[in-house]
Amino acid sequence: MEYSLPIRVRWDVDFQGRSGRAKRIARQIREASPLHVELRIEGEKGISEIPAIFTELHKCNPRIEVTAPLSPEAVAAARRGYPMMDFLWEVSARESFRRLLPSGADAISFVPGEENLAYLPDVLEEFADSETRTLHLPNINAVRALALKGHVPIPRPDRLREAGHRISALRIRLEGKKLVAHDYFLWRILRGAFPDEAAERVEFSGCQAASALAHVDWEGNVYPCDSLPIRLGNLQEATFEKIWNAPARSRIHEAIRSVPASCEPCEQREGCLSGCRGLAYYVSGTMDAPDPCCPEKPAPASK
Amino acid sequence: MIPKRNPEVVWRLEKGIHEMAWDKARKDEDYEDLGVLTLMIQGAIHQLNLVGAEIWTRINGVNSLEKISGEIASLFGWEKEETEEAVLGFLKGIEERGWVALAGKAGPATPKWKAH
Repeated sequence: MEYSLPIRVRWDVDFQGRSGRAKRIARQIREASPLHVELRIEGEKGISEIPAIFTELHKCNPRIEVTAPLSPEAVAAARRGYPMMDFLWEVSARESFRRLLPSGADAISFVPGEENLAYLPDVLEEFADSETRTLHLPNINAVRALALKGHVPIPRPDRLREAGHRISALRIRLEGKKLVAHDYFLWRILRGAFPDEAAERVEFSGCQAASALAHVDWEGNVYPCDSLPIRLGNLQEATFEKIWNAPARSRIHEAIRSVPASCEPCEQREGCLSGCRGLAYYVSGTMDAPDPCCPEKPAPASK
Repeated sequence: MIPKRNPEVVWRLEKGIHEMAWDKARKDEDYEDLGVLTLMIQGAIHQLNLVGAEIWTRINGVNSLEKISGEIASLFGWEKEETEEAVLGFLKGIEERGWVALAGKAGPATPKWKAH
């Protein structure tokens, strides 16, 4: 499928108390007419921007999904009841989240990386006992991780396997619940353990970076995806259309469409579609490389 | 029969591609494979070609099947009866996907959206 502009935009609204001119960035995003906007709110700065962001974004009638911290301020913001805006509550491995969830919370989000993947079984157990219906497991946000830590904590295939063994041994029931795993290899593990709940990946049909998907950071910088830290432009300096129609984005799109040489003979390719090309690029410096989480290939040397 | 869109479907026209498809249609070139309108429902993404898009944008809960077919036939220079049959077939197809309800058929007055 071809798109004139991205249909899904992920926006990291704030970072360590900083954000750009949120209303201006929201207007630029709105002018791209995305069908789905995913907002990531880190703290009070981001929470304070929600009303202005909503005022702009709702003019193009997208579905809006807000991933927010489990804080009283964020819960209060969610209670205002913005139409077409769903809240996902970010949970960590450090503390139990059930007692912190607001009443009626429908979805939670946990980002499994190298440093916290071992806690995923615990998160699944608590999810099973909670009232929430959906657990989102997004990929690592490489743009944010680089800004915060200087590296991207990508889980190694052996750690994924270990987590898979522990997950398979869990004695939990997830009837009526849903697991949304962005990473293909993690999804495969979860589907093995919970075939109905992990279901089919209708939302993930291969890498959508630089085509259906775009990422915007807290300063308005545009990237093909939050896992592919190649800056394309800035929404405080240029329109989304101008950034998206520039040659840089097209070149990345073409590189993603081609199959990495090492994936070509692999029988699993029709399922994984070469996995996350952004993380492959981060680890190896080229998009002609396998996903670093792929268990079929030897792990490349990490940066 | 008056079709109504499922409000859970979000959609947009792909502007440059829509114009390109019309340009090809006027020149009698192949345009059927171009996706000119993108829809999203429950996370799944779909595209409609030029004809599908022109039908979809005319579904507003007021326009009847006859009115929509008449406009489509006029737009593309097709026979009216054949067009109505084709438009009905298209509407039934997207009704099965849960994108529209076809009010005016025998059955419940309130459209029941299918989970997709």
